[in-house]
Amino acid sequence: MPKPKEKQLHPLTALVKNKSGVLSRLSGLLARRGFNIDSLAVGETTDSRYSRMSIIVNGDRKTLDQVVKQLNKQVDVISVKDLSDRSHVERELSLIKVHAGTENRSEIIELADIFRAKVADVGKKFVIVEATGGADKVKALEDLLEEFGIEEIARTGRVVLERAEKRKDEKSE
Amino acid sequence: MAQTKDGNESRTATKKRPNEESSPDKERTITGARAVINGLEEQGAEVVFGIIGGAIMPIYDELGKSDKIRHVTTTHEQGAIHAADAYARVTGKPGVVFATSGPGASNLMTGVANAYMDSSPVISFTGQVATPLIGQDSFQEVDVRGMSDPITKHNYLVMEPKEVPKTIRKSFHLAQSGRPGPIVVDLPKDVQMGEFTREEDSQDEKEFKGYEVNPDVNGQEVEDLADSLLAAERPVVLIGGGIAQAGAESELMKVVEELELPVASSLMGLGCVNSRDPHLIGMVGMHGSGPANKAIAKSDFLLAVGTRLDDRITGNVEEFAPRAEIAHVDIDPAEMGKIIQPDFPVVGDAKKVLSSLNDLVEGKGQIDKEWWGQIRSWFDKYSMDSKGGESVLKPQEVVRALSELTDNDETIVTTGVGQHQMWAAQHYEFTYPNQLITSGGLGTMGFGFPAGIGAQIAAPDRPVVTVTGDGSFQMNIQELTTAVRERLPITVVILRNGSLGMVRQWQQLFFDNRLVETLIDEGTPSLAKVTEAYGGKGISVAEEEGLRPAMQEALNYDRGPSVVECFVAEEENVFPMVPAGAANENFILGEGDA
Ligand SMILES: Cc1ncc(C[n+]2csc(CCOP(=O)(O)OP(=O)(O)O)c2C)c(N)n1
Ligand SMILES: [Mg+2]
Repeated sequence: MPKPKEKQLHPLTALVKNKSGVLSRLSGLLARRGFNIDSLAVGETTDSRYSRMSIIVNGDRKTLDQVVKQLNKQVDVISVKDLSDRSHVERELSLIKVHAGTENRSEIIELADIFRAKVADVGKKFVIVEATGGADKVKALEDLLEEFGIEEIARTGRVVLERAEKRKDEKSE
Repeated sequence: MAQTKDGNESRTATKKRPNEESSPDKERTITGARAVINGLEEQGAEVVFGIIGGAIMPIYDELGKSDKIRHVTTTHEQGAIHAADAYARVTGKPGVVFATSGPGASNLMTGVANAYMDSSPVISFTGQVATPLIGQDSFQEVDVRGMSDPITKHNYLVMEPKEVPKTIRKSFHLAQSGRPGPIVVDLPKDVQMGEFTREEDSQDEKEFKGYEVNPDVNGQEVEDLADSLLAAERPVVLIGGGIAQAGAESELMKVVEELELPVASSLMGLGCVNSRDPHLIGMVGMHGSGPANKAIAKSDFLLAVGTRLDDRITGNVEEFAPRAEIAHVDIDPAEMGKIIQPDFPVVGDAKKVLSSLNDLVEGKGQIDKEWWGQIRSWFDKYSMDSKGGESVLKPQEVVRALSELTDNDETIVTTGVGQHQMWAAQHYEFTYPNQLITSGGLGTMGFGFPAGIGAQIAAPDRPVVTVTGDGSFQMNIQELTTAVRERLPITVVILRNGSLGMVRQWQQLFFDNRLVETLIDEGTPSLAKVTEAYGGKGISVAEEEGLRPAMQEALNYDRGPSVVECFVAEEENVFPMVPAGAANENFILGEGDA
């Protein structure tokens, strides 16, 4: 079997119109042009007319360049920024439902503590751990919890934002 | 039954229509349907192509009251949108289409995709089921926005009547600005019938935030390009349809004449340089001329302007212009590096870029005479002239006769897709941009004849000829009705070769001559007689002797469409040809070459 190509992940942030149909049009565009998207997350900005999309692209520079240009071409896209070479904050939230009886519940909670994760819900058979952080940290916690048996997991996908105060595109709205 | 259902809907529509002549209060409110017609009038739309149906009846009802807009009912929605596409290419204004929901809208989709691939500004208005019915698999409901997402520059599903005027203004702006393209506007029936007051219509300046129409040209980039161009020994210019879109042909010619540059053209760029101009070295790519493909292969500098450099142009990308530095000028930034990473990317309007380029190269001398010597030797070696004068009718000869008998400075030529399309491209003498109206990007069989209809309506005083195949013509043959009804004096020249010739050619060359499902003569009627039955003029010719008189008779006929059905040599194939995946320079010149 050929070795799987190493991933080259690039975080993009895009400001788009907050309207029905936009997400489907843009995600359709990415899929149809064969771009490899590792993660895509969307949420409204402080101005309800706009949403911010965080897109993690897997591919070389050429692919990345095309993703940015093709997105930019869309009428509903206000701006796209490649954060690969800019300092930025990146977070993901993961809800992990772990098998937990009385015998190992406290162990799980301790583990969560170490990762500064929260316990969001406790039941007879499961606890739900809520972990936030960079993708690596969340992944590490998931790996450890795997030992207890993960029943279900839900992730937000990674959200990214450029550091510092120069979020011009948002201010000018 | 569909019929009854449609009928019922229409009655409700009529009932709810506001009476315009009533109280002054009423005058201040208008319906979404009225706003569509007002909006079209405001934008200066003069012609709409379409077919009525239940979900778009309110709009047609208002259309009936307009004396500014001419409506052309076609026989199939595909006919309407190809006509609108050609109308747009001839007039430079958006073509407008109406279709009903469901099948009406889905019948448009091939045409929308066609317009998208060829960057043609076509605006389609589709009726949609009423908003409460959306998403319920209602009668004649399809997700028009979803279907058209991948094939539109932009699309709208209008959910409120007051959004209609704004949406129309935006659609016209988007369709024709920057890189043009098709827009689809989906209008639910209740949005057409609902009312709003004029005050509710607001200008929304923020609307085009982030949509850059005409980016400023980076002067430094053009200077760098100019320096390299001036230093080149074997430069070639490669033009595409972008030259025609930008109206940049005279700016192009200035640069070309200044430096004595050879120019190769894509299919879409034909006509931007007059065929009689010695700078033109032919079409590039799969069925390009020997000199054009050779010159690009040997060039040390390629200036590509207004072309997407798609696979029909480049052949094997790795071996495309392998010795050349490449400059790529296009209005669409996404074309830079999409297929070929240019050494000199310049984003901008071709007219602007070429005129600043001209300022930089003016008086800087001309290119090496030796390079032209080499190019001329390829002309001698790869001549495309055939003998003619044979008893069988050669398709190439038919096109040449057409080129001779028509006024090349006036005539508009549309084509179907296949061998005949390539022969038209190779053998008709094009003299001006957009003279050839053809389906370049999508390769849509059936485009030619309805495109002829759109072209004739756009330019009633100019001759319009459609060069098509027996396969392509029959894909939209029903539009004879439209051409007869509208008394359009189009001349259709059919190169009847009894086959889906272009595919048969591939079978002969690359599938060991196994002709699977490409012979179509059995069952194909006399296309001349069919034309007569529709009420047009139909003539058949099978020998070269009768060709010119027949063609002249058809061209002279002005009471409606005429068809010259030419029974051409069935075994004829299109050459030169670059086999798929090969380098352009390794074109073959005949069957024996493969
Ligand atoms: C809508 C559509 N269907 C199928 C094809 C594939 N195709 C390309 S050329 C061709 C044959 C065209 O036949 P005809 O119009 O008779 O032209 P000819 O090549 O014989 O001149 C076919 C089937 C196509 N381009 N478009
Ligand atoms: Mg044929």
